[in-house]
Amino acid sequence: MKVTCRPSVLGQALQIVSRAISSRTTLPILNNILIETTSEGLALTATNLEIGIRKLVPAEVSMEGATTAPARLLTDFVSTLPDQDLEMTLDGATQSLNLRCARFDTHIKCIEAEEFPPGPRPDEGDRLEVALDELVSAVEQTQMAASTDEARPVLTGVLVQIQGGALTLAATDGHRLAVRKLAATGPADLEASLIVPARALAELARVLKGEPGKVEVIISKARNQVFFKAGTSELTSRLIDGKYPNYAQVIPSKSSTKVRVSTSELTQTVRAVSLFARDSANVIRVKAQAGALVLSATTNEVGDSKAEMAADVDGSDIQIAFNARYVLDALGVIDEDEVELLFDGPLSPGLLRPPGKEHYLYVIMPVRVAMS
Amino acid sequence: MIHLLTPEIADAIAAGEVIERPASVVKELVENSLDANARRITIDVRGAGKISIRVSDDGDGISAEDLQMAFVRHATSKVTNLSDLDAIATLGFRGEALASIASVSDVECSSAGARIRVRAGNVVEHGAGPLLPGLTLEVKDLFANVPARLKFLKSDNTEVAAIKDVVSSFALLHPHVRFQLTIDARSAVSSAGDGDRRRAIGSVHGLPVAAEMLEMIGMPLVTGMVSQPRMSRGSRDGIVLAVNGRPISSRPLLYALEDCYQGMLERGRHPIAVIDIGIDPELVDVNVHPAKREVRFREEGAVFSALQRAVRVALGGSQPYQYHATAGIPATVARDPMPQLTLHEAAASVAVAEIGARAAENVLRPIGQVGPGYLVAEGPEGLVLIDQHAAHERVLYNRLLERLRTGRGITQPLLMPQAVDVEPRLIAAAADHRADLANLGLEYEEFGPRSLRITAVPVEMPAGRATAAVQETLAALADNRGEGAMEKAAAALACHSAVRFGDTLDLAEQRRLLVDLESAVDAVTCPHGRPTRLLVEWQELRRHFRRNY
Repeated sequence: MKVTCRPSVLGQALQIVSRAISSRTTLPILNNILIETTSEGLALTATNLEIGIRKLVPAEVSMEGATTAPARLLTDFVSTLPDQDLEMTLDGATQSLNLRCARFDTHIKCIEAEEFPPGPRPDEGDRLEVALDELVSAVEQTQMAASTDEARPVLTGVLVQIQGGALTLAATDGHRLAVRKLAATGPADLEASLIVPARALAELARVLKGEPGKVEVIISKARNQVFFKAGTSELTSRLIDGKYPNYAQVIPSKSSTKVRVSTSELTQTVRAVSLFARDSANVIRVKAQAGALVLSATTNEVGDSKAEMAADVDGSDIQIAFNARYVLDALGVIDEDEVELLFDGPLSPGLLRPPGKEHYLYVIMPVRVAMS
Repeated sequence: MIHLLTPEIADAIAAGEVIERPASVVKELVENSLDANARRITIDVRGAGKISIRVSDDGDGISAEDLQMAFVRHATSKVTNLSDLDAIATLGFRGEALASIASVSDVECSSAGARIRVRAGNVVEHGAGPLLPGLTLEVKDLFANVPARLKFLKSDNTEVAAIKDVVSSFALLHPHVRFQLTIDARSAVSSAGDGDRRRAIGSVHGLPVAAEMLEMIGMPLVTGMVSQPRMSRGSRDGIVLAVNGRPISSRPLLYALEDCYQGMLERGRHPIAVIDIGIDPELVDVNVHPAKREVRFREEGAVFSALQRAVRVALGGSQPYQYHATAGIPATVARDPMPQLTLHEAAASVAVAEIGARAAENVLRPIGQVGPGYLVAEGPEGLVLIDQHAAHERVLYNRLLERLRTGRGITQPLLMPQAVDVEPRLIAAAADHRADLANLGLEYEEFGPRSLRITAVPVEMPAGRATAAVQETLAALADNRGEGAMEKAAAALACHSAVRFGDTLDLAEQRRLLVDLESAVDAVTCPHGRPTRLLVEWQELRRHFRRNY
């Protein structure tokens, strides 16, 4: 193998691909990045057997070949190189990779490419296309609601439903639920329900950054792998096996109080007031009354705080309490200037959404506080 | 044919109840000395007490004319009227001890210039003796005339240990009396008798233990010392309970004491304690058991709670676990090997615990997270290492107990109720404590014979932890019926809601945990008794790095 490329481009790609490498692997080969020559240049692949990331790097190939190099060392070294032509030559017999760039002449010991687990390839399967920025925002708006607890593996994933040329992403940890719809183009009769690990989706934005507008989503025939492919980047993930709970039944269908308020003002207020919600485990009280939303929190030894903000309140007055973190999680991913809060009594789930829009909703179960 | 037993046989039978082993002889004689206001008691034991037991004191002694009378059964100077029995202020009162001992051995007693020798209950010599203060009594050939009893004595080592225990108990309970026990010419217990209980504990258990004891103060009814949670033993041997200076065994009081350590000691660990309950003799009946090991209180509940109050106040002065380089005072620093962690031991120097000096204004400054789950912080006294899980567990446990007490819980109802498989016996346990569980924040519906639907969890519990938490909590309830079951359940719930060992905490979370831990009561250990933090004192660091040392 003999190739020439630019360290800046290679370094960036190595950094992204390295995200798939787990720090606690028992298989030494998984600490390495697979480097292959292709017709377009170099292909870099890393995997932890759950997710895999593959990136193409433009390079001039003078001799074909493949090997695997230690990810950490290669990434760290390439990132220090001056941005001049880097020539990489592999000695097939000793698996020693020679890197020549400017004043450097370096050899890195590698492992044969044959030892690298052959990842699934997205050659077959059902395909559809979505807009990249839409997908990235949809992932951002849902994955934080997924559970981090391995006791219920299904909830550590994001449910991706494909139906009638549209995608629905949903995630819940049992305390809150986030649902986002987005348009997709693909076979109209394609119907599928996948549970994608939230961890894999969290990498998606990083991997696909800077790629052109569309993402190709490919679902393997066996329905056990999903591929996201855009331009020269590719992310593959194993799917979680199991039955996702029927989340639709917990979405409130009616409301007795409707509040409309500035997103940034609410975010800032919740953040400030919640500093006084320590002892009560982050619980803030929310009171909606004519023309105003009042937030308050108290901790005996710390003090208390109360903030009143102007709001459009439609319907009956209400007092309800929430875990501030869950509220902030939702506010952080709503891009609109205003947000709509819908309540139906202090013990029923509350709903947050961008006003007048149907594509995103976030449901939070309120906290029950014994009245003093 | 039925006939009256001869006095010798009757005496031997009666003696069997009081004198069953050499240690009982020591106990009876030491009690007599204490009743005679002795300030110095010397006990010399040979051949595990079978050859000779010699007790001499500097007490009031027995006058020459009373000497023979002392060995007559039911002869005593301590009780005169029947009503005296209602308020016994002395350790002895039945007038049986000397007679019983004399009936099974060869006793020589000298006091106030007179001397008497009694063998198997018969006076063999009586005459003048040395004119010395106090009394000296020597028991030889114990059980020589009762071969059956001699045969049933345990090994010499066991009998010696029993004697040592008896003398140790008295030494701990009477710090103003100087006790000297020698066994086969070797000193076994030697207390100073200067009235300092900590020093008395030092002479029995060693100085490191003494340094870890907390004085019970401000409670006139209960005196003594108890060990801090960071010092414990694998058995109850270190616990001495007494009433008016008389060692007793009492299950209720033992329970009362250990209950105070609930949530501070690991399973199978027990405190070290010396507790003397000073009580109006009228309110206690010691005449229950021949050896007077058991007593009856007229108001047991009051004694019980007085003891618990005193112990709890004392435990308020508990200090965190400390890091110490190799125990012992190093002769030269250079020879000092690598330091090691000694958790259950304290400084060799008798650094008197400063009770009540627990500075509430202590502020720990978080430095970071090391290893899988330790926090490093800087405090006014030195470097503090914290087990993040144990610390958070303690904070949550206290919070849950508070909710249990006030009945004002904060619950996080679940958006999607979660079914949890549990054994039927756990469902029954849950049903018995439904209201308490709701106060803790755990609510459920029965969902078939082997399953519960969890509808709400404590607000601190991270999403998704419910399954394991519910199973463990209910198991704690089912395994601990009655007293303390809810506390155990709260501990299980706290354990499953706390951050895990290995979770990454950002600086804000670390600071928050440290502040919460600082203000938590009983913060030395987690509710299962494991330490929450380890203090490495500045002095310790200075010593290690040879600064100003």
